[in-house]
Amino acid sequence: MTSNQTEGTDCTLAVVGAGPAGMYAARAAASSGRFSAIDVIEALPAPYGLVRYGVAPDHPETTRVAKVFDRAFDLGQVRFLGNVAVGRDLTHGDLIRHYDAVLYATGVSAGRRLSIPGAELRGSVSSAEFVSWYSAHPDAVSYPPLERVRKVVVVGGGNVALDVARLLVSPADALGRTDMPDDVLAVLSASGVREVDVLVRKGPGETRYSPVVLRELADLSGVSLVVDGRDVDAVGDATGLTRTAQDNLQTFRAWSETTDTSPTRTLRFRFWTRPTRIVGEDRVEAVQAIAERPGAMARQVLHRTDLMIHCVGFSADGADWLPGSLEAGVMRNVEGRVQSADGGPILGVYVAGWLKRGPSGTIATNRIDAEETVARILEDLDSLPRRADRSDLVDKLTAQGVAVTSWSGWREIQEAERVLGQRRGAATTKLQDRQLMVAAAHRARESQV
Amino acid sequence: MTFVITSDCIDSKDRSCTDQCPVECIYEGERMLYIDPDECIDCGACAPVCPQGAIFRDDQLPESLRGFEEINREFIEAIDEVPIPGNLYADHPRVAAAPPAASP
Repeated sequence: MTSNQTEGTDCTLAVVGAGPAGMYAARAAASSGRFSAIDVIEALPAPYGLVRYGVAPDHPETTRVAKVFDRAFDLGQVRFLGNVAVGRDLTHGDLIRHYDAVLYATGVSAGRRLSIPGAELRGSVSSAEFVSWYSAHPDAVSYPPLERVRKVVVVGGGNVALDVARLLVSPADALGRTDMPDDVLAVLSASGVREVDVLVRKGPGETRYSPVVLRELADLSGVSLVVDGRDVDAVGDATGLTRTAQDNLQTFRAWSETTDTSPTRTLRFRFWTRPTRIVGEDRVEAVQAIAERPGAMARQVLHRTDLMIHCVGFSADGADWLPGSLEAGVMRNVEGRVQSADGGPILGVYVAGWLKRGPSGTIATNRIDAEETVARILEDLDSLPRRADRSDLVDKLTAQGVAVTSWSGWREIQEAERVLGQRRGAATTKLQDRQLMVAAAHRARESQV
Repeated sequence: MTFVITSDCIDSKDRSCTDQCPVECIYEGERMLYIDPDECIDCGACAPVCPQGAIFRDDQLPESLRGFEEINREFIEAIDEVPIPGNLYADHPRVAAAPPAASP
């Protein structure tokens, strides 16, 4: 060990955001041995971001990635400071005073909608709003009135669109064992949805759906999957396509050749369809679109609908507490080093995950992305200005009356959710209310005393 | 449920799968890669990126490749210490003894 590195072990790092990018970053930073303390600061009482509030509840296997993140907290120097929001409980200035380096991994959580006329009508919602609702996010707005909805249009060619469409056509009894709260399940059980149309701008040979997840739609009982054979035939030569696209094309071809006789619900993919206007008086009544299949005349179509869900991405717009500046919905940066609006680096401030590169990739993409940022931090560490305030940020937060949830507090929340789940035969049921979560976490502190 | 790497990985080892695995449960032998069935979370991120099409979910393994479920498991079990992604380990004996893969 060189003398520089010995000095370096006194360094502290704040990771803002406990989603996959933040957790992979904390893990990489911890294993470098260069930090005496790494605090993972999370606005919600519970960690793991989109693993908890994005992964579809009927795909619990993916949430098991959390076991890798859990291990980061087992390393002594990593702490969880939950229920602490930058911009609400503290400022960026507080962070740079208390830590030698600050890494933002807060993601891009504002749901985009298509910018077409009518997008603001009632019944036109972003995937972020809809996913927040079914994944029991504490800040989710009230549930959509699905009992009055017969038909839904979902727009998007990515996995979020697939999750949303699947949840809407899934038989309620198949969802009972998931971790969705009872009131979400009640709404889905009373749902009147009979038809879901997925509108995809491109063709069936260009989708980015996860092939396994797409194929498994066929396992849903009572659901008819409808694909127009002409859409599949129009793809032509498939040899240049990615493996994912080829797999999916094969799945769509199989579905285009079969018809289900007595479906309860229909899930239809409409390719080469681009919405141009949402029609309605005070709420969504129909979606107007242009259908432009190659080799055929473009035509204007009108799809009647009660609900339109835009699964067309996310942005960080509105997060005005972030330092630096936003460009195309993400933080201006070079390899994770945050840049100011005029292009220079902001010393000691870093970014990882969706906030760094935009909303794309799989969970593991954030591992490679976060490790790159941490490598830059380690390069810079010896030359960074040292923190001015060596007191513990938690003391300041506690004095302010912030109910910080600790790692053991999170374990206590999980225990409460396990007990709640057992009542209906599920492994776990999420607590949605922030106060209830904080109260559950607090029990740990009382019992520790 | 787990994913399984099969014969088309032998002497190919493209490694694209390792970049996709969120739990880093793919380990490297001299001639092929292997998935730790106990660490695998069944997310399916690895299979579509394999240029050889060598990765299958265990319940979708073609009959002729069934043996690789055992090969993946036994490879991991044969490693004495905690395996480290990126380290090179000795192949499963049946893989070590396989004839060289024909060059493409």
